[in-house]
Formats: sequence, structure tokens, C-alpha cells
Amino acid sequence: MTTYILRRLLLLIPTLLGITLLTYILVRCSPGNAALIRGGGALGSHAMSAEAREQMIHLLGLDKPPIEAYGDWLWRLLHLDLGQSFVDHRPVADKILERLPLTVVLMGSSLILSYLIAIPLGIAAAIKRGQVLDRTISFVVFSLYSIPSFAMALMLILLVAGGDYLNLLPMFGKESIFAEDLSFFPWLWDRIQHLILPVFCLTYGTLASISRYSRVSMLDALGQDFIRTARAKGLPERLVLFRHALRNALIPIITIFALDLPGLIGGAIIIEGIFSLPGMGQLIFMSLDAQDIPTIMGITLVAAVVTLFSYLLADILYVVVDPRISYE
Amino acid sequence: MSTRGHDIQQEGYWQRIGRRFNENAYGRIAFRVILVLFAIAAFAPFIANSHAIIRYGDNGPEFPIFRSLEAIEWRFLIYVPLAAAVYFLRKRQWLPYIVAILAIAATETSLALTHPVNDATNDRNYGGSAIMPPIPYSPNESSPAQFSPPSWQHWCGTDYTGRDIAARMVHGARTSLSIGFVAVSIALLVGVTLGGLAGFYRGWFDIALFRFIEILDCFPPLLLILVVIGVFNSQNNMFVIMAVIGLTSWTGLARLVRGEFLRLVGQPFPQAARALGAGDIHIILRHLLPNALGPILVSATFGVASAILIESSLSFLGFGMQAPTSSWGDILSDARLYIDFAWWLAFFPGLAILITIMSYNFVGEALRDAVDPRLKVK
Repeated sequence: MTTYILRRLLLLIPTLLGITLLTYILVRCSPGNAALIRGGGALGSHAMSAEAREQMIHLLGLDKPPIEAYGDWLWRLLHLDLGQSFVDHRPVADKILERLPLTVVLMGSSLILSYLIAIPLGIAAAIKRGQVLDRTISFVVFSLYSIPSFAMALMLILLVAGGDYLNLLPMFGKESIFAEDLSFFPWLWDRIQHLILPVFCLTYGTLASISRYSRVSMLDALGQDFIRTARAKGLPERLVLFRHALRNALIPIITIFALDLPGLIGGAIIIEGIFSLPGMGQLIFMSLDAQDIPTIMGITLVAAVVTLFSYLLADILYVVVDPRISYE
Repeated sequence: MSTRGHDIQQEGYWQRIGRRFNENAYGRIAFRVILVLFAIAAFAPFIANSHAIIRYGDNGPEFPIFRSLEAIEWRFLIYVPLAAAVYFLRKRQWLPYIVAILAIAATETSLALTHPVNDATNDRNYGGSAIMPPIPYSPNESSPAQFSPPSWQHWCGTDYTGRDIAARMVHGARTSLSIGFVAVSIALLVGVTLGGLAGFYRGWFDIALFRFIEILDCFPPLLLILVVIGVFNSQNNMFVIMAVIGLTSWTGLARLVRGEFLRLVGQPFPQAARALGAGDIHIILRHLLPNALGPILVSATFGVASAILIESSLSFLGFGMQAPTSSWGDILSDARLYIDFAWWLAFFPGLAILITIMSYNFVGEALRDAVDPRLKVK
């Protein structure tokens, strides 16, 4: 087991290098930089100040040969030095770290909620296969899956958050203005109220994909020979379903979060933008607007590395949970 | 094996898929919805236009609608039927080609000589008798009726400069649908070629390609596209968006095609073809690709749905097409500022995106069941 995990960790190194290389190439090849390398100013639409040009040359090592420059940049990266923001000259790592918790809370609660709701739905659909319940669940889930989250967010704001209809929930931000003065529980309630809509908008898409997946997985498990055996030996249906089928059906489901994560990150970017939540998604918009290259690179790297590790976690979980799979 | 026998077998495969597809009610309806959407997009200027189709003035009948058409719309109007005509007349040896060349020459010269009349006039209040398109407004035509809710005049309401939302949506359908189609074509071209070569030749190319795909798959698609568009800071015309979406979404297809090719190469028929002296290219194009086409088509259909979603997200976030081109995401983006009262600005374009994506997903689902009934979970 340990050797398996160690080997997988070693295999991460080339992929991590690839991620950094791709990010570096992407930024280095951009037209603005090409102009810098040629010695001229940047292209018309985003003319840089002399200071920004200095920083850019320093960040990407534009005055050095490409390979050496990449090496230098990578070396600084290994010391967790992502460079300084062009906008406020703070270290990019700090800027990302202070915004990370909100995004993690947002995505984490959405994932947990998705699992909690989706698995029972998928299981119910599989047990009542082909019946009205199954068809209703499948259709609803399929429709949810096709609603763009930003359209849903706008409609929800209109309907329940201060539009012409109801005013139950706050429209934007992560907390109310007076939140600092509240004691713990009212403060927490304030936070939760601000997160209900964003989390809902992020959840329903993931929920749809997980519940479809659980349905297939449960159907798959129900078709196995050991289920027939369990029924043949006269076990009550409840035990057959929940002890024999469900446990086996859950094995592939627990790893699906990794497949959903890239989409969830994309969703979080949009949703944070709409609800003005000061998380990573909002940071990427501000950085793109300001052409704040170090921050853009930093966020891209963090997102890619997080995705990579979630893939790894899913693979390891799969092996841990299913004793039939050998580590070889 | 005679060519004829080969043909019949191929036909049987697709006929079977067609029959199974038609057995699925959702898929059948969704496919028709997509056809209707494409028809709306193709004939957008005739559905939503402030110029009359026919009006009777002092000088006899006039056709103002045709004066407002852009060159590209003329080309579309003429060349699509022309291609169909050439196809049906292909037995007549040289005749269809001569006609085609003459028609193209005539169209291009007259297009070069004339300019579309982009006047702000409209024929809604024309004195004489006139036949208007169903939606008598142009997509970028402002009017004093700002923020009017849906009514008989404005089916889907108007926005902050009084532009008719229904007209904007009809024209926006062109952007959204063509982006889905072209982006997936680009992804298909890259993904099928690379995945096919990797699956057929294996070796170092396969290893290198899949290392690369592993790396590319770590970047969340929307983030990658935003960064590419943001960092390159390009003039966002439709083709840049299409290319960026296409070039970032081919990895799934490449994986799929590689898997299919690996499975097919091991079967007896490519080996038989090889024994009969067929070359690599012949085997790939004639034996492997046709057999992998079903799953590729399924994956491409789902791909169109996600490309449309990504395009509308980009437009919504303000990273999409630039001003005059309207897309459904744009209209939604405009809706953001006025969402507290103007529900129609968000509802109708949202509904359009929902219907389109849902239709593509239903078609994909039905196709998957038709291509491989073993996967059917019902």
C-alpha cells in the first residue's frame, strides 16, 4: 500500500513539471511579451508602464535564454515564491491564501451537499428502475444538469433576494456590513445566509451528475451474481439492497468528486463573480482585468495542482476502499 | 468481398442506429427541436427584421428586407441551395459545375458592387400595405420603449436601450449554435487525429501524447479558456472563441478514439485487411474509423452541449464576442444590472440556452443507447 502511494507520488513529479511548463509557455508566448522581447513597448490595448515592464522582465526572466529563465522561475516556485502582484505589490501567495478559504468553503459545502442529496436520489431511481419515480427523478436531474448556473443565479436573485418578489436572502457579498459586531452565532447565521444561494447554484449541477452516476452504479451492483445469491438464500430485501448492493455501488461513487472538480472550479469562478464573493474566482477576474500576470499564473497553477491532487486522492481512495484491486 | 456487399453492410449499421434512435421519444423530439433551432438561426434575418419582406409603394412592389442583408447572408442564401442543386444534378456531367461557377461569379461581383443598406428606418409604420417578418424589429435597433415587459409588440420584452429581446435572441441563436458546431469540429479534428494515431501506432507517440493530455486535463476548462483569452488579450471575434474552445476540449475525444482503436486493432478484420495488402492509411480510414464513428458521434454531441454552455458563460462574463454580435450569454450579461426588476432579460435567454443544451444532451443520450444497446440503463 505504502509503496503504491509512494510510486504514485513519484509519478506526479513529471506531471507537475508539465503543468508549470505549460503555464510558463502560455504566458511567455502571449503577444504582450513577444513585444517586450523584441524590445518595443507592449501592444496598443494594454500598454505597460515602465515599472510593469521591469517587473515582467524580472518575473519571466525575459532577459535570459528561455530555458534558463524557466529554470529560475521554477526554482522560485519551489520556494513557494509566486512573485509579486503588479497591482498592489503584495506576494501573490498571500493574496491567494487569504481568498482560498472562502472558495474552499463554497466548493466543499457544495460537494458535501451534492453527495448527501444525490446518492439517495440515484439509489431510489435504481431501485424503482423504469417506474414513475425513476423517470421523474431522471428527467428532473437531466433538466437541472442543463440549466446554466449563471441563468439560475440571476433568476434566484430576482425571486428571493431583493428583487420584485421576495427579499429573504442577501443578494451579494460574504457577510453583512455590521457582521463584525455580531456575536458568534448570529455572525455564523449571517455567513450562512450569504452562502445559501451561491452554494445552491454550484450544487445542483454537480448533484445531477453524481445522482446519474449513482443510479448507474447501483444498477450495476444490482445486476451482480452475489445479489441473486443473497436473494436466493432468503435475505430480506432491505438487507439485500442496503448491505449487499449499496456498499458495492458506493465504491465508484466516492471517487467521482475528482471528475467533477474541474467543472466545479469553473462554476465557482462564475458564481463568485455574480454574488461578489471575495474568493479565488473573483480574484481571477480582477487579475485578468488588470493584466496582473503573476496573480493569473499563481491562480492557474494552484487550480491545476489542486485538480491533480484530487485525481490522485480519488485513485488512492479507490484502492483503499475496494479490497479486490491489487496495488501492483 | 465486393464493394457492393461492403456498402450494404455499412448502410445497415447506420440504419439500425437510426431506427433505435427513433424509438427513443425524448431523442426524437430533441432532434427536431435542434433542427428548428438551426432553421431559426439560418433564416434569422427573415424572422426578425425591421424591414418589410414586401411592401407596395408607388413604384410597385419592393423588397426592402433584401437590401438589409449582409454579404455573408447572401452567400449563405445562394450557396447552400446551389450546393444542393449541384449534388442533385451531379449525373449531368459538366452542366451543374458550369452553372455553379457562373452563379458564384455573379454573386461575388454583385456583392462587391453593392453595399447593404444599414439605415435605421423601419417599415412598421409604412403607409401602404406591407408584409413584415414575424418579429418586426432588428437585433440592434434601439427604440424609446425601454424595459417594456413582454407584450404583443415585444414578445420577450426590451432592454435598457429598447432593443427587442426576441429579435436579439433569434440572431443570437446563430452565434450560439455555430460556435457549438465549429468548436466541436475543431476538437474532433485534433482529438480523432491524435487519438487515432496514438491508438494505431502506440509507442513513444502514444506515451508522449497521453502525458500531455494528463497535464492538460489538470487545468479546469473554463479557467484555462479565460486565461488564454485574457492573457492573449486578442480581438475576440467569433473564430478566436471557436478555436480556443475547440483546442481546449479535444482531450476526451482523443482518449475515446485511442481506446476504440486499441480495441479494434486487435480484432480479426484489420488483420485480414493487412493480409490482403492494405496500407496503414487504408486500414485507419476504411476499417478502424468507420467502426469507431458511433461512439465518436455520441461524444461529439455531448461536446456541442458543453461548448454552447462555455460560450454562453464566456459571453456572460464579458470575455466573449465583441459588441455588435449578440449571443444569448450577452443578453444575460446585460440582464445582470437590472435583474431586480427586469426578469425577462434573464428568463428568455436562459430558457433558450437551457432548451438547446437539454436537446443536445437528450440527443446524445438517445444516440448512445442506439449505438451501443449494452450500455442502455433502463
